[in-house]
Amino acid sequence: MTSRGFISRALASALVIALSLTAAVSSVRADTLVYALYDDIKDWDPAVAFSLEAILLRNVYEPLVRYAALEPGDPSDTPPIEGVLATNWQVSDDALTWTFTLRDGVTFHDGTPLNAAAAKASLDRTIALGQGAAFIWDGVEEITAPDDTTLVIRASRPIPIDLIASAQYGAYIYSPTAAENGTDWFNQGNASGTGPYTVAGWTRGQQIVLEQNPDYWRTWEEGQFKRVIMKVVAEAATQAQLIRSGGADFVTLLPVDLLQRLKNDADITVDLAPSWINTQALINTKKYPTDDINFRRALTHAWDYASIATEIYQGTADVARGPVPATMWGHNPDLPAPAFDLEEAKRLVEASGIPPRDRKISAAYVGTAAEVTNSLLVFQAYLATIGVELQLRPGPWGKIWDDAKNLRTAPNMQVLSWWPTYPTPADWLQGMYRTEDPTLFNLAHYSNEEFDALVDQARALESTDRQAAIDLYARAQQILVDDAVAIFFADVSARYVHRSDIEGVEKNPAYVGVDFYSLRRRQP
Amino acid sequence: MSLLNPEQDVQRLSRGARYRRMAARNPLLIAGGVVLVLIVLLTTFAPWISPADPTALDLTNRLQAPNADNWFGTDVLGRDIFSQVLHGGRLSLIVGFMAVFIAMLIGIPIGLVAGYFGGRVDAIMMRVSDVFLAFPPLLLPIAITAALGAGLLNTMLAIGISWFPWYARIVRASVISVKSELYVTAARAMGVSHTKVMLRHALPNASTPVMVQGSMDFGYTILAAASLSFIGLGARPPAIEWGLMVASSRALFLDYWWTAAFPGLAIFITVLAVNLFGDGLRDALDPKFRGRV
Amino acid sequence: MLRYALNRILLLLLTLLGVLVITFIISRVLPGSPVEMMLGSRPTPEQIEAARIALGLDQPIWVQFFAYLRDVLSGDFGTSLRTGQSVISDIGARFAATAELVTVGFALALAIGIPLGIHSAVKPNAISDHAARSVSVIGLALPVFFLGLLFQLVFHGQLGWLPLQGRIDGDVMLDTPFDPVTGFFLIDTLLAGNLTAFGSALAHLALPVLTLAAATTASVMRVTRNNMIEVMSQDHIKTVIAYGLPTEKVHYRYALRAALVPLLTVFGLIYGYMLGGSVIVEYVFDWPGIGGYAVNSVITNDFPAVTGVTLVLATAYLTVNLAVDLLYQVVDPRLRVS
Repeated sequence: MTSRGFISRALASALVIALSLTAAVSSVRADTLVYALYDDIKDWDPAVAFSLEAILLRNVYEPLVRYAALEPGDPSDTPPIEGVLATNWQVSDDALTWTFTLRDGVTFHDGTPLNAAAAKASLDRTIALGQGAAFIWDGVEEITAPDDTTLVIRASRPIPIDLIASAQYGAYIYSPTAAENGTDWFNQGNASGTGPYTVAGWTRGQQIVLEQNPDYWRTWEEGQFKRVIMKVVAEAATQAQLIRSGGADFVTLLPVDLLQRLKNDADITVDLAPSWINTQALINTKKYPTDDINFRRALTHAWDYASIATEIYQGTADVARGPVPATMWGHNPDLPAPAFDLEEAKRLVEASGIPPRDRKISAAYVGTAAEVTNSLLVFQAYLATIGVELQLRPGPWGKIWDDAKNLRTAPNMQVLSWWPTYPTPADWLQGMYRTEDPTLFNLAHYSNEEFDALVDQARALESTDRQAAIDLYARAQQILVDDAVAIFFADVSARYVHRSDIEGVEKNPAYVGVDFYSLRRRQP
Repeated sequence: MSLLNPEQDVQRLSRGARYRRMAARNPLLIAGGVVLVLIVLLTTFAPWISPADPTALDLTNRLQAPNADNWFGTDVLGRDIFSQVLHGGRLSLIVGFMAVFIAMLIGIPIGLVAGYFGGRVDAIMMRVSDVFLAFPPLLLPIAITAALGAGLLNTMLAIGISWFPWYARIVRASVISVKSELYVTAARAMGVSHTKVMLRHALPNASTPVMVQGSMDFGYTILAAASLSFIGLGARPPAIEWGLMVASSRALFLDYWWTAAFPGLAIFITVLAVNLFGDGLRDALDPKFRGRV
Repeated sequence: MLRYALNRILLLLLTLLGVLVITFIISRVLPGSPVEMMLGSRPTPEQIEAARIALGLDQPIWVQFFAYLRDVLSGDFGTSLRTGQSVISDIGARFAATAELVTVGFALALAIGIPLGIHSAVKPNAISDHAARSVSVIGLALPVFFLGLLFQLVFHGQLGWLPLQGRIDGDVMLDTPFDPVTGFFLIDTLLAGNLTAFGSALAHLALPVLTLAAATTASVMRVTRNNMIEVMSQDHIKTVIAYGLPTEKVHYRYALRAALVPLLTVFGLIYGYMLGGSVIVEYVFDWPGIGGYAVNSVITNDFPAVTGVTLVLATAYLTVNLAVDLLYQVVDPRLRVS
């Protein structure tokens, strides 16, 4: 029939035109970096953002100081803090007052100058809003700006303000003039910081475009990226395809089973570096049958640590030793390595006295994490061989967390990934294991007075007597391991997956994402 | 074009000959039926005929391409995909069947009552059904499953609840056409109760169209259940179900095609068989279509 | 006619109210406190409580419903818990994408399905009839998500001809921008004379449209074929043929016209089917439309978004059906009685 023939011919010619045109534009412009995000930015307000927004915001806003990249060495060394918007800082003898000297000649993207008054207004607002990571400033009594370049922060008790001011959340200095417009203004995709890039546009759910800030206080050189497109790509498979085709220069999701194939591709670089992210399965200490310590210990021996790290994580995670990642200062290096021993597990199950019909437990986790799902499936199989039945409860984070907080609905095990707001072991020890009422993140529902006292003491000593703090933290970690409050199974490595022609990737476990300013594309 | 009047021909034949004739005129019905029976048998006897335990992990044998040991290859945890496909069929078939059953369970009584009593009762019931029909297909099952929580039981309920209006309508139309028949009026005059009239006279009349619709819907419900599992709202691990298998393979399928291909094909072939069977049934039973191959 | 139309519109509004009730019930039953999801990483108990109250979750359920009703009627669909933006603006930003996908798919399904259906009815039992019917049967049996993955595997993974996801190349959008006049990229790029962008948009549209149209084409083909068969078996057609008019001419001119009109009634259903199918297709291809938004909202228990999207989609579906019904009244005078 003629109409059908016409239609098919028209379609064919259209397709041919399209293909020839797309062939012409398939290569990314050399001075543009394409970075694939796994979700859209939700909280644009630098005082509120507490999630993946940091990947974007760290290139648009800057803090007073930053925690420099991790150097291998003794983790008890003095924290390597560098100045960013502050050039100099010192603490008073009583450890309560910190004085920062601000950098000259810096302006915000909206043209207002950076001075102590602006910095003070910025931090005051963050603290006053009380959202996101504002809690890191707990203990700060007053912030003053005696002159244009001097910022004074006074606290009521000794807290490590230099570390806190380097935090990846809640420590940005932003334009107070812009902030007067309120959080809603920010959430329309507006920004005004001091950073190397400005926000040029935001297509909801699709991409964010950043452009070079010509007035940035550091110099720009030939070869740095003039433009950055942050694409929202939710599927791991799609991100993998994009990095292979060159459609993206950086990806943030990596299906670990494709790791080897991507490594073998000369055009792609896969770098694993230390991060401070770890994943653990918290064991509910107040719910039967996991309220029995022998039963909990049995569980810790039924986990195949080595195989899971090698096969399920494909080497992108190390076997964890204890609640604090091995690369974080204050980690207790004397903690015993966890042992996968089914015989011992079986013995402990019997020793617990739990009758066979009650050897049933549940484990909740975020359903979209493939590595966690697969690890739990392996765990489930091994538990079955020692007569313990594991019921899996995947779900979205909102529901999981809601259920876990309440003892009535909480599961026996809760898988949780954790990373610090600013670098301190207290973030884990206090955030996850200190007695809490009502429960927030202490999803093991653990309550131990001795432990609480150790952590509180250590926190108070952190900035004055670091070594003493480290010793106290070490004891606290040992208690957690002895009490089998969790299966500590993965110190997750940071994955930097990018095209091989991208150079200058800085790997810093203190901050998620990368600094675009340091990147260059190697010319052929 | 055939101008035969098959009804007259068929009446004169013996029962066996009648069925043979029906078979000859409806090869699709037979083909679909045969494949369907085969699938049901294979999935029912899966525990006995599958070469391996579908839940058996083997971390040293992960993501192997189809080979002599694993006809469909292995998945991300080293499990045999052929065994998984065999076992997974059960859930898919059961969920599809139960969803249709639930839809019928809800829809038939509503249609009966609405058609029989007419008037306000009819209007109210049909308006309520219309509200359920206002949702584009799949959107309501998605929302209901999310509300009830993931899991195949909730999937069955969700699809069944969303689908009942069709059966209500069919039964209602059938009841209305029967209501005015003489024998119904006679029965009522003799004092037979409403319920008895509905059940004994109106309902049987609706059985054929309901069966035909049901067999055609069965394919759709299997697809809907698999789609829900694909999004993550249906079956959850460690359950084995075809839609879930495709979902789990999504990050890897471009490199390890067999992890998605075989479960997907299984869904396709099953639904194909069901649809052919349903079509064939309609062709055989619906007067307008008799006489056409 | 006017009375009929008004009657139907009233009915539509009543049905929409019912839809509202159902979606409200569903969204409040959704498991998991939405507050946790909304507040991001680590809210304090005080922040959680404050958010609860701000969302009105501490009120009794019927108070919440009437508050919701009042808001919806004044155009406020609430704020999405996941994106932090107003649901209306979220939907608005994505509406055109879905509209383009469904419209092009619908057009394709009609352009292929109707001729095939006619051909199949007119030349029964020919090879082409069997082939067409096989394709139709296959199209209805293939799971939409599987077909989408297959297309991605073949046309992107193996052949590298077409892009994997998205609506257009990000680069192209920036380097050669065009005015989103209609929101339909195919139209807007042509209006701007931007052939590069047109090519990119077309290439990105290809696979999602093919996936969506596959099942719908099969449906359209079946319905057309069935209608044609019915019409062709009617006496007046047979009579005209008996009188000696060329069979082909009769079929293609008279029968076709008569067969296409009842096809209208099924349009609404088919459109709804496409709206439903677009949900899965958008999910597979990362198409920034309402369907994908709906799925993500449901998975993350974003109850304002779930209610908003369901309402919008149901309204669209009902409106299309109403329009088709009214059109049918106009086209077929025989039905203007009731």
